[in-house]
Amino acid sequence: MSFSINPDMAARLIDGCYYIVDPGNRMLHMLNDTGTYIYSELKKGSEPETIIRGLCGEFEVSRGEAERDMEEFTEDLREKGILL
Amino acid sequence: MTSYSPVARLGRCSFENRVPLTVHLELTSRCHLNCIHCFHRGAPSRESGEMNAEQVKELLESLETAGTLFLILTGGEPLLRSDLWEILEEAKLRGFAVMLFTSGTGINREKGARLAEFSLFSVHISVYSSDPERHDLITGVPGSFEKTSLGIDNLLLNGISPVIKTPLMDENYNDLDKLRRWARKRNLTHKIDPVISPCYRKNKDRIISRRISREKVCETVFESGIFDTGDFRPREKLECGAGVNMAAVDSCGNVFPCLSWRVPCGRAAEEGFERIWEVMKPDYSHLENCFSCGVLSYCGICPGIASAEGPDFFCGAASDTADRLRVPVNTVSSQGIEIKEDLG
Ligand code: SF4
Ligand code: SF4
Repeated sequence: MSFSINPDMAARLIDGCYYIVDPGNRMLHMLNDTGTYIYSELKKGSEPETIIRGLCGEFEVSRGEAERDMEEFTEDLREKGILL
Repeated sequence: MTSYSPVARLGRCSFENRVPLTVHLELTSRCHLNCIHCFHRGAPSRESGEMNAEQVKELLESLETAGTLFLILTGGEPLLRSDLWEILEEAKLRGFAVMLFTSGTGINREKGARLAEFSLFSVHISVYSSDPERHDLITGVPGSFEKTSLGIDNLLLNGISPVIKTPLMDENYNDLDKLRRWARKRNLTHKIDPVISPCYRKNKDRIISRRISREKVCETVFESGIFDTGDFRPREKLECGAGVNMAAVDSCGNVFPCLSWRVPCGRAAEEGFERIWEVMKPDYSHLENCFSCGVLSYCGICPGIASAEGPDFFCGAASDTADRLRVPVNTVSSQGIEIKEDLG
């Protein structure tokens, strides 16, 4: 798995949540806690393995759950064009 | 539990946490047009120097840190800055959703293509009439309609569909229907601004003399269908987003609560935007009576415009609106409006 953030998207972390604007279709997306954590890590360039381990620690979830969250979330962001 | 859409949630949380979500940044007050309603004519920002590209970039860094997401680059004419591309590049790198306000007159094929590289959130172009002569009469520059139309075509060629903006004045009020058709034919979103703003006290008489009457403002608002569609939301409070979740910075770096509320709060290049923002507190003392006004719900008052010219125009318009909606009103003045008990 490798991810890069679409540089055309505008994004800001406000009050603990990432808000992402897609200028192409003028949509605003709001990420939840887990999404914000994953997105922040991806922005920093963290590897998927580091993010999964981080999710387990931050949100007290099992490795399986963390992997599932990571997969579903990145898939969703890819569909929305936020990740390339 | 109420569930908010992302837009509503962002609006609410930026308001509650005082995040300057939207910032208007005037890159220059220079312009090659000379519009009759322009608040820059004779304004203080024309008298001192523009921020250079480095200062603008520093400001963008501060805005990013402060949480600004929507950055509106305006002027004057932003395309007159030769370093506009550098600024757009920086804005993109820093993750802003950028809107560009321009007359469009300087957008040739090459610039249209270049603008398309920056994934702008929107480009807004002012068109005053679909009649070239009338448009040019307002801009004061013969041939400007043709150049603006060409600019629009060059954007469309590059996949940018600009939003057409029309501030209404006596000079173009009667052309509105034709202009709407003109925009529709080109598939362009069209927005009107029925109340032009003086922004500065010294502009008051010149600009108010161009403004459409409050009867026409009221007519325009009703025509928009807002009261029929259920879109109308009664105003709950007098305070707006100025200095709360929005701000404006002029070309010399002076920071204001809003583009229309030009009380200088400090200079970004000297004091830093974040410091200025921290202590900015819009002063509503000019609207003391509005707080207890009975028809505040129907009033479109802009505290910024009212700081330059007083609230009378809005009082009149609110009373007209209340009358038309049959909200019973017995006192109408800038001293505040009281609702009469409806005994019917
Ligand atoms: S109401 Fe007026 S002062 Fe307030 S944000 Fe809107 S334009 Fe600015
Ligand atoms: S109607 Fe007049 S007094 Fe009432 S809120 Fe509007 S401007 Fe203020």
